[in-house]
Amino acid sequence: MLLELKKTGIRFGGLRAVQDLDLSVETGQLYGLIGPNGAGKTTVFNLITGIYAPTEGDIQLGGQSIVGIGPVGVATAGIARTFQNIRLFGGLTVLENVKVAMFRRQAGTLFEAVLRAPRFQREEAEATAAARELLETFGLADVAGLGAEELPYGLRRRLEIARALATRPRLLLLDEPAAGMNPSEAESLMHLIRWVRDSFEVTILLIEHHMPVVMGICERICVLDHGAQIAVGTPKEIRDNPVVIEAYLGAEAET
Amino acid sequence: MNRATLLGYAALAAAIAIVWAIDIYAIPWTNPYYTNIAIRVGFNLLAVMGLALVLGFTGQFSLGHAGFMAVGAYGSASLALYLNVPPMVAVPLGGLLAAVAGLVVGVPSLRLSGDYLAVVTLGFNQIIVVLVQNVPALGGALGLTGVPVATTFGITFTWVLLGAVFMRNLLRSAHGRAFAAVRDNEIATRSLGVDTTRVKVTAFVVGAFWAGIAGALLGFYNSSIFPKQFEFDRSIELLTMVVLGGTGSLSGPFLAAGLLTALPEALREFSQYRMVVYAALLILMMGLRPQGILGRHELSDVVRGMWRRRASASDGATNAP
Repeated sequence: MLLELKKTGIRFGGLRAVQDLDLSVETGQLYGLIGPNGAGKTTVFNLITGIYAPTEGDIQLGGQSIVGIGPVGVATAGIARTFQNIRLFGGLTVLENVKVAMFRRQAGTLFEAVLRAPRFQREEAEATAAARELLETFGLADVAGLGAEELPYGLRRRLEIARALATRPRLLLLDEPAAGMNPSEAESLMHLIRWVRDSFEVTILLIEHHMPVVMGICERICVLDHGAQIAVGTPKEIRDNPVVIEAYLGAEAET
Repeated sequence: MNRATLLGYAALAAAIAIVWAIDIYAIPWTNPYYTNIAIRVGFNLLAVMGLALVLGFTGQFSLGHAGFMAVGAYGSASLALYLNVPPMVAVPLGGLLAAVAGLVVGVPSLRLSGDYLAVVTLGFNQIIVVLVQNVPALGGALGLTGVPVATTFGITFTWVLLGAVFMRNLLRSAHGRAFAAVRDNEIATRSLGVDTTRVKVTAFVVGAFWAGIAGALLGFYNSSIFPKQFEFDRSIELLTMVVLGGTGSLSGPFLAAGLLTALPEALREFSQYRMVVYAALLILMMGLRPQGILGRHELSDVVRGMWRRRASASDGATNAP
């Protein structure tokens, strides 16, 4: 078991945004987290990545608790993520965005950088090569020198995934990667995600609203509603689950 | 060491040699009034460099940069006066003292952001000024006099060159990218395993060091230092230079520092309106060109852009039938 949430919950004042959540993601799995708007999906991501600390329960990565180690600690432990509202570094180029993710592994000091010492030169060359290779596999090599803000929307999503992978994570969290995409873009994203899982040997937990994407690629799905888990199982089990259907249709009927 | 690096070192050495050639052959025949202005521009280049890093590249709003100048000035002057440390050794030590002050202020306060950080740094500036005003050994409100005179044109601009190369190399490195990442999106930076507090403290300490150097050189130039020289309005002046020059640019603030140091000299009779002019300039800039004169670009980018436009224009001319 790679990631395990045990009776995890968080309270914001009187609001229980997530409660009693049990979640087990196996190594190599492609796991989906779905639920109506406001169900607490992004909150779960923020709990896993250490942006919020759970008020109840525990979160473990590879059998070790990652509660209380903060976002930097969680990233260092091997969890990378993308954001629902894409968060790129607008003042940097596409290539530089990826290279920021390699900063943690670079040992060169500030003085070595200022003096252009041999170790700085070597690490810089290595980072550039690795970043270029990654951009190449993501079809971003041609735009490596562009500012990240100049990219069209779909490529920004790709860049954010490439950047997250540059940290060499064990677990990758994708927060609505297909948001704002048309069906054919979503379809190609689906293939990309599966390909990423296979070729980077990374476990993926994703939040998604596009049901075809979720049902098409996820091996296991957890459904949240009002901060609580209402169902968990294979795509087929979820599709046929009356509780899930009610949660979705009920929510839709209200709006 | 590769060729580009060696070439860089050679260029720096050549530039320093030129500075000293000017110092030896041109300065003795130059009107001391202009030399004085040039040296003061040099001090401001050094001071503004640090703030450009903290505010422009790392996005941290510091309102107490003059406080670090004070630490450098009083620290190095005291070393020279009381421990007979030679001034040219005392200058880097003054910078280091300011860097330590940067660390002490930075570690607790850089967990804050935005308005809170501005208030803390403003408070630090005030505390330093009040502190030196009330320590008799530092001369109190009357200031510290009898500081040995040692700062020359050559020494000032050698430091400016060292500082400029330091900054340029730092900004074009993994550390430089980390600064910009923190400025652009702190949450995303942390999600990549980059300790953002550490990055911010680093920027702060480096910025403080160069402010300290500026302060130290100032003390050894005037032979006396007063608390008034390092008050809040001095910090605002430096802030104006960065915002006017362009946040996220190094040569932009340099340009603005030169402009805002030389211009008041030309308009001496209106000097009491200086702060009014600064405020008006800032407001005008916010309205007309919020990114500053150069925005996030460097002077070299602009020159290269103009060169390319000229080249393509002449291409067009030759291609015409």
